Amino acid sequence: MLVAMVASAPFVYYFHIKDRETNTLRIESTMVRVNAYSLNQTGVNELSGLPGVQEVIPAVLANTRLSIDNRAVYESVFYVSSPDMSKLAFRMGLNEFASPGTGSWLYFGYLAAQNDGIPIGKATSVTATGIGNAIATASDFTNSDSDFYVFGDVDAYWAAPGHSATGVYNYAFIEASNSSEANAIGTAISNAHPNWSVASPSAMSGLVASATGTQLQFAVIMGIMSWAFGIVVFGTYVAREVSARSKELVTFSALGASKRQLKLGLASYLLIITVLGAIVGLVINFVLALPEYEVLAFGYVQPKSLSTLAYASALVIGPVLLLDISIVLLLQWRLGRLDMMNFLRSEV
Amino acid sequence: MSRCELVMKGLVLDSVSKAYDSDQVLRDASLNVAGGDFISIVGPSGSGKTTLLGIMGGLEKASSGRVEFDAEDLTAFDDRKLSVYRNRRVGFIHQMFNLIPFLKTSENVMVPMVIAGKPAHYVSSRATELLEFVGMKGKGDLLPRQLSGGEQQRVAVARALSNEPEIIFADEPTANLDEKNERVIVEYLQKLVESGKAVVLATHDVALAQRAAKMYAIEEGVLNEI
Repeated sequence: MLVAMVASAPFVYYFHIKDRETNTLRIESTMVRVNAYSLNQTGVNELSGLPGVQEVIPAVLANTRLSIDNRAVYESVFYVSSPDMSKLAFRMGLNEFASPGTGSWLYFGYLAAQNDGIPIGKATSVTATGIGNAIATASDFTNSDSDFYVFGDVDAYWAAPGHSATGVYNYAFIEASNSSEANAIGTAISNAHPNWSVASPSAMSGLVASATGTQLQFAVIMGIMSWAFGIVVFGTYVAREVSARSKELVTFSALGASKRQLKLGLASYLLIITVLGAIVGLVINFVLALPEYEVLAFGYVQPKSLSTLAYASALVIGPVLLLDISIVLLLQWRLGRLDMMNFLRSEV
Repeated sequence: MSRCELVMKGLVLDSVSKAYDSDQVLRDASLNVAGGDFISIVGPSGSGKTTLLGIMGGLEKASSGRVEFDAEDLTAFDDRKLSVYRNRRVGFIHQMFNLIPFLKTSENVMVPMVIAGKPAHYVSSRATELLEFVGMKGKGDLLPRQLSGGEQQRVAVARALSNEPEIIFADEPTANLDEKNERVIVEYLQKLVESGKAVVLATHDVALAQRAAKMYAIEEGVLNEI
């Protein structure tokens, strides 16, 4: 398990970085979102001065370990000031909007709520270290939208030990009056700050697709790694086992088992071992992936991606079966070259 | 005399040689084995006894010469026919017993019958009968590691007899046994001969070899009747 974690770390790191770079969700037609990494009051003022800008709401976006009804859940939380919170409104579905308002800061789309086990419409105790306690109600957005928004108070965030410097944001919601203005604002920011990630309405669909692709790639890589570890671990086991069992194979052959019978027997044996190995591997990866997500504070790779793992793993069953057949043929070839009589006389 | 009567029954080796690369281990060996024969082949270690038994038992191919069983050319057999020959026509008893360690005693005896595709009820009753024959009644559920060397060899004898073969090849069958168990195994071999089966015994032990009706000596691959 440790080996699997260490070996998968570069992939996880890669996707973690990639995820940050495409760290944008849905954008409303009149809103531009900026992932600025470092945005101080001067930067906020600069954004506010851009033509067409109605409102700039700076935020700190941080992955946070929340305790929701005493369960640990990692979520990306937007920390904004209390006065700004009431200005925000998000489209959760076609005609459904969420507005943080005052004292209510947890919004989950139906699927997102399901994934995190958030009870819809019930008062939920939410605690975050350094942020304090809150009672929030997850709104009932019944369409299949899976977005989620969790808001916290930025002053409480800054006050918590080990958090970033007071007054430095890394995110901004910019309201424009119409979509063409929003696009123009996005272009202006991109030109002035090439290192900022800007999600303008026109760029949004591509970014969402990219984020989805990232999740899928992650799931596929994890799936392939499950099989790869299965193959390495169980392949090594089988190779050693079969080597140790060569005498029994020779004995079966001496007792009249034909090459075909031996091949079938070996193939069945390997198939059973491989399938069992894959199942065990998947279970281990599932168990392993959960703390790995938490340790590395993943952004938009949600727990639901783990279920994709199983499908991704299923995709590589063909190559695994081919490998099994290759091993059987290799063993058969090896068996044909053994000095059977001397092997039968040997003590091993 | 009918054509059938002209056909030589049993195993015939005619000028059989075997070489591994440049190493000539058997030179022009000729030997006939028919039902009821008790033949011993005596020789020191490395003299070619095992190779000779391997060729007769269909486990090895001769480099040259003729090997026939019931007038059929053994060297021309494909894998399937050779497997059937090993499974039903001959039986092997090895020095190292070669029981399958993860199978119970009774299951070890069943293996050749299962390979032959015999029905389950027959396989089970035949295994019980054979274990009784070799004095292993009630030990069918034990694993080989729970048996003594002598008991393991008795199971190997039972296994060799499971498909009622015509010839039994015994390669140093008593080399790992004490005197008492050696005597038991030799008694079984003699019983088999009395029942009309042929036994070919390879040993380095001259005293044991002398128990056979026909005795051959082999040295540096050359086989001579004594």
